[in-house]
Amino acid sequence: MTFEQLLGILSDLHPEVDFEREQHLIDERILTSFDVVAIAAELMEGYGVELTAADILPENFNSARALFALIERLEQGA
Amino acid sequence: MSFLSGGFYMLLLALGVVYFLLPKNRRYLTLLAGSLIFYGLVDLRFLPFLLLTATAAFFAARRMGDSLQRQKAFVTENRARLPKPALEAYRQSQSRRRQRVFVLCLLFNLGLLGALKYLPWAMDALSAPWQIHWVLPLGISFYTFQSLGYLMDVKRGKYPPEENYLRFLLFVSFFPQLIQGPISRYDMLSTTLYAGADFDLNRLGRGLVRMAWGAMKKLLVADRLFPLLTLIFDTEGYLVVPGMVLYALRLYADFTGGIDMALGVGEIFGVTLPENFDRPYFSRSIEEYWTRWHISMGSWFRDYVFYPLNMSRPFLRWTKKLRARFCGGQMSRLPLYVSTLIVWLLTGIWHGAGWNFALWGLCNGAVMVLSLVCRPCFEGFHKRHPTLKGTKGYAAFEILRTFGLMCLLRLWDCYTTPRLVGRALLSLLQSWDVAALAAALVPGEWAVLALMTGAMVFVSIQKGGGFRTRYLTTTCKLYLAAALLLVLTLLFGAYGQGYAAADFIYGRF
Repeated sequence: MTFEQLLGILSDLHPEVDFEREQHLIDERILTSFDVVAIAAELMEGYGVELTAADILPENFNSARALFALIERLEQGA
Repeated sequence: MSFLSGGFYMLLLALGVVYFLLPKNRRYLTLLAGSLIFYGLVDLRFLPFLLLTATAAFFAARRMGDSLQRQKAFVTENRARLPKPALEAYRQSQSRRRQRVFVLCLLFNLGLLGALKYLPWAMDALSAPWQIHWVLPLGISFYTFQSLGYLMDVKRGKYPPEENYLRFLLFVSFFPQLIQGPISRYDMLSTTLYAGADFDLNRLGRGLVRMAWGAMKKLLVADRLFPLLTLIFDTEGYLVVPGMVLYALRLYADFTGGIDMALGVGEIFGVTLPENFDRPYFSRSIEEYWTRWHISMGSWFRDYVFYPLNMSRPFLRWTKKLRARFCGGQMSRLPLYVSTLIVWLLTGIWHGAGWNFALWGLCNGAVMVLSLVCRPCFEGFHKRHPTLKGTKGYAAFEILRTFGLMCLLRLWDCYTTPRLVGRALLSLLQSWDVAALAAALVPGEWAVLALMTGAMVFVSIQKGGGFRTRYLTTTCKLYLAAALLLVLTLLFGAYGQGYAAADFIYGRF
C-alpha cells in the first residue's frame, strides 16, 4: 500500500481535512471512533492490512504519516 | 465517609503528615493504608470485594506476563534452530494460555459485579419466588473496570504486569478515585502514583483550590438544587422542561465537583489523575458530547469494547459480507450500527441495574446510529451551504440542539420506568403549582445559583492551562483563593442543622 492510497481513503472520509499536514487527528477530535473503525475496515479489507484492536491507539491515528508507519510495520511483520 | 465529611479531612491531614515524613519509596504505602481505611470507613463489608477483584486481576496479569516472557525467551533462543511453524505453534499455545487466564479473570470479576449489582435487580424484575438483598460496594463499577482495563492492556502487551501486589492494590483502590472515578489507566497513573512526590507548598495550594472549588460546586449548586428537583420530578406539569435544564446543571455541578475534589486530593500527593470533563455542554453533537463528558468511562468503552468488537473476526466477516453484497451502501455499515447499540446498552447498564438505564443507553446509541445514517444528508446540506457551518449562529444552534437532546435523554435518569417517562412528557401541557415551586427556594438562593452558574461557565472556558494557571500565579494567591472559596462555601452552601448532604450521584454507579 502506498501513502497516496492511504491519503485517498482518508480524504474520502473527510474531504475538508488536509491529511498531509494535520498532526492531531484524534486529539483534536477530527477523526471520531466511527471514522477509525471505517478506516480500519477499509485497510483490512481493501489492502489486507492485519490490524488488531491493540493497534488502535491515538498515536497511530493522529496523523496520516503515523498511520502509514503503522501499516508499514504491520506489513513488514507479516 | 464521604468527601464532604469531617472525618475525611481528618484522614487527609493524617495521611499528609505521614506521607511526607516517610522515605520516598515507602510513601505509596501511606496512600494504600489511607485508601483501605477510607473504604473500610465507608463500609467495612465493601473491602473483601475490592480485595477479591484486585487480587484476581493481579495474579491473572502476572500469569499472562509470565507467559509473554516465556514466549519471547523461547523465540529468541530458538529462532535460528527451529523452523518457523514450530515457533508459531509455540506462540499460539502461549497465546491460548493467556486467553484462558484472561477469560477466567474476566468472568470472575464481571461475575462478582453481576452478582452484587445486577442479580438482585434481575430476581426482582423476574418476580422470582425469593429475593436477594445483599451489599453493593460503592464504586464497584469503577474499580472493576479499572482492573479489567489493566488486564486487557497486559494481555495486549502494552506494558508488563505490576510485580508488587501492594502497589497494584493501591492502583485499584486509590481513595480519591475509588467512589466515582475517574477510571484511570495503569500506564498513566503509575508514573505519579508510586513516585512519592516531595512536599510542595505551591502544589498543595493548587490541590486545595481545586478541592474547594469542587466542594463549592457540590454544596452551592448541586445540593441546593436537590430539593427543588425532587419537587419538580415528584409532580407533573410543564415545569418538567426547566426541571431538565436544572437537572443538567445539578448533574454537572455534582459530578464535576466530585471529580475536582478527587483530582485536587491527588494533586496534594503529587498524583495526576486524568481529567474527566472538557466543557461537555459546549459539544456540537451527541457523539462529541460523549468524548467530553465522563471521558474516562467513554474512552474505556471505546478502547476495550467498541474497537475490539468491531475488529473481532465475526464482525469483520459480517462487514466483508455486507460490503460485497451492498457495494458500500448504508446496509454495509450495519455491523457498526449494531456494535454502537451494544456498546451503549452496556454503558447504560454500567450506570445501574434497571430498565431505565438500559433504555437510556439504547436511546443514546440510537441517536448516534441515526446521525451516522443521516451523515450523507448533512454533508449534502453543508455542500450546498458551505459557509453555514463556520458561523457562530450555527454553532450556537448545534450546541443548544445537543444540550436539549441530552436533557431529553436524561428523562430516563429522573423517571425510572417507561410509563413515568411517557407521563412526564404528556404532562408538559399541564399546568403547575408555581406557588409550591417558589417556596422551594428563596430569592437569595436563586441568586447564588445564577452567580455560581456564571462562575462555572467562566472557569470552564479558561484556556492556557485553566483558571488556576492563568490567574492564581503565586502561592500566596492560591491560598487566598482556597480560603475565599472555603468561606463562600461556608456562607452560601447547602448544609447545616437538619440538612443531610446528598450523596454524589455518580457514587451510586
